[in-house]
Amino acid sequence: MSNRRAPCRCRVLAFLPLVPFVLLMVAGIGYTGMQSLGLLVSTRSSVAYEPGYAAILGSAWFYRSLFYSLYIASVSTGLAVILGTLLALALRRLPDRLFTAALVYKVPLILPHVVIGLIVLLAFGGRGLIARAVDAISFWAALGLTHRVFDLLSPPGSGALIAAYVFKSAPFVTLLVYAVLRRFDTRQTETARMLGAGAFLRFRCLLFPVLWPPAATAGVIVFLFSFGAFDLPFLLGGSRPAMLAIDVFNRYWYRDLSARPAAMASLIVMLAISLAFVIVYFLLVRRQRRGVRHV
Amino acid sequence: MSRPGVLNFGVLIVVLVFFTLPVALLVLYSLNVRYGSVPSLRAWLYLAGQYRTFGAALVSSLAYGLSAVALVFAACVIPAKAIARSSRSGTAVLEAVLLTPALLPSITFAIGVHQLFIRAGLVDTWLGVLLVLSFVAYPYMLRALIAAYESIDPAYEQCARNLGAGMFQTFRLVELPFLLPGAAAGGSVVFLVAFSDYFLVFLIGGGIVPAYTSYLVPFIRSADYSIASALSIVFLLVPIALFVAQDRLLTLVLRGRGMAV
Repeated sequence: MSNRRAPCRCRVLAFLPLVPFVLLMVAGIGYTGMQSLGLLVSTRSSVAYEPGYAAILGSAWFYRSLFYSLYIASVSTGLAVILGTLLALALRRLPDRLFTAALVYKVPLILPHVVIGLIVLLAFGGRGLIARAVDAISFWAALGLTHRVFDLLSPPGSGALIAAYVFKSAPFVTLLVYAVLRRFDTRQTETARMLGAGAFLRFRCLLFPVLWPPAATAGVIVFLFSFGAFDLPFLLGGSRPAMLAIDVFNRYWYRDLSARPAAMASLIVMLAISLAFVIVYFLLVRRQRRGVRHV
Repeated sequence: MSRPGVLNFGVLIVVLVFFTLPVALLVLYSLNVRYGSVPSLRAWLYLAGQYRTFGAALVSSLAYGLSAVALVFAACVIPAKAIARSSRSGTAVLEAVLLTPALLPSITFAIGVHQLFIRAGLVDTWLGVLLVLSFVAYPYMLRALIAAYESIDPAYEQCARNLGAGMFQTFRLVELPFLLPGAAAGGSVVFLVAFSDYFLVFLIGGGIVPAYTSYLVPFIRSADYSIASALSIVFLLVPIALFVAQDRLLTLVLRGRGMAV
């Protein structure tokens, strides 16, 4: 193999083009970290700031935002993984001709998040399609069941936010799961059936081991995204409680420098949680060398 | 029709309803077709009248999207090869570290980058937006190129070198044709990420750098759903047109080289 003989110097030099990118990441996170400790906040060295960690750990808004973000991310990930996997299972049974038409399931993958937000507002908003349809049926109104049922998930905007994330992420789960499922030999389940295995046993012993690795890796990505993204909560979410990204941004953008260390400290907490999931992702990916990957 | 046949049609109808209805909703709203209002071309006429600002936003977004693809391809080609051809155990960890920016929520490093860019004078500039978008999107290209390089037999390269081809010639004539399909796939994702992003463009561009998303969002926030829907339709059509063009071009290039498509 030629690469064995390549001098070591070359191998290090090969990564030179990516150095600016890595530096940008390290510098951005480093700066955030320093400011979370109260350093480098002001250009005047005479002004000192307290580290932000004590402030966030002692304040209610931080816990509220953190748990709210975790809640939204978990619910939308759970729904996206279940619905996306079911869709992949259903697509597998379709004959080729119908499958081509069913490829429209990829539409949300191309739609930008802000457009997904708009669609959810059109469909679920107070003046939206579903609200109108429900209102139009007086029978439901008589039972006191107006479109407010959609606001049932108590904090304002939660339902819309979860709907948007599921609509965007479920096709992504389908994409990854279907890629693996396509290679699954259905004769295995037929044989198991002939040998007397019930539907549950067939699913647990044959289909599940094939399904779960791509579903889990897709799930981690979907979770990370819905946990920390900005665009959709900015359009759909409420402010009380707000998603962590929105809360931090408001503290950074609209408040004075004294609020800076606390905002940066919550970013570091967010980063730590995200990194834990990133590690889980790469451990999962290592187990499935041949699967389709996102990154 | 047999029972599985009916079931299949049922599945197809559910899929079609769920995934085409939202797009149909955009079309209907853009034409002001809704309960209790008169259909009109107001939104489309408004955009036609605003073609300067609307066009500037679209061109700017296209420009940083496509530049990001080019920049990221240039930055990833050599590292991708090094990763694909390395047999060391530490390479997997290095690869994971290099791919991480695509998985982390962008706000966790973007606010730090914003402050650094303020000091460097890159905030509110087109270059700043391009840099930050390339930074979040490069892992998709890196991953695609690693996969592409893993599928190229190193013997091709050795043959070319033995026959006297230089490094650049080997890359252009031997490796590049093999890389193109992977680069096109990675490039599509990079373009979509850059073209669709709202937050980073808004943070680093500061509203100064024209962008399609920055143009669209105020219409959504002020609940002018007709114009927002019309803009969204353009938003959907532009990448689709680009993907079709890319696909045609790729087929032509590969056919021209006598490679199977």
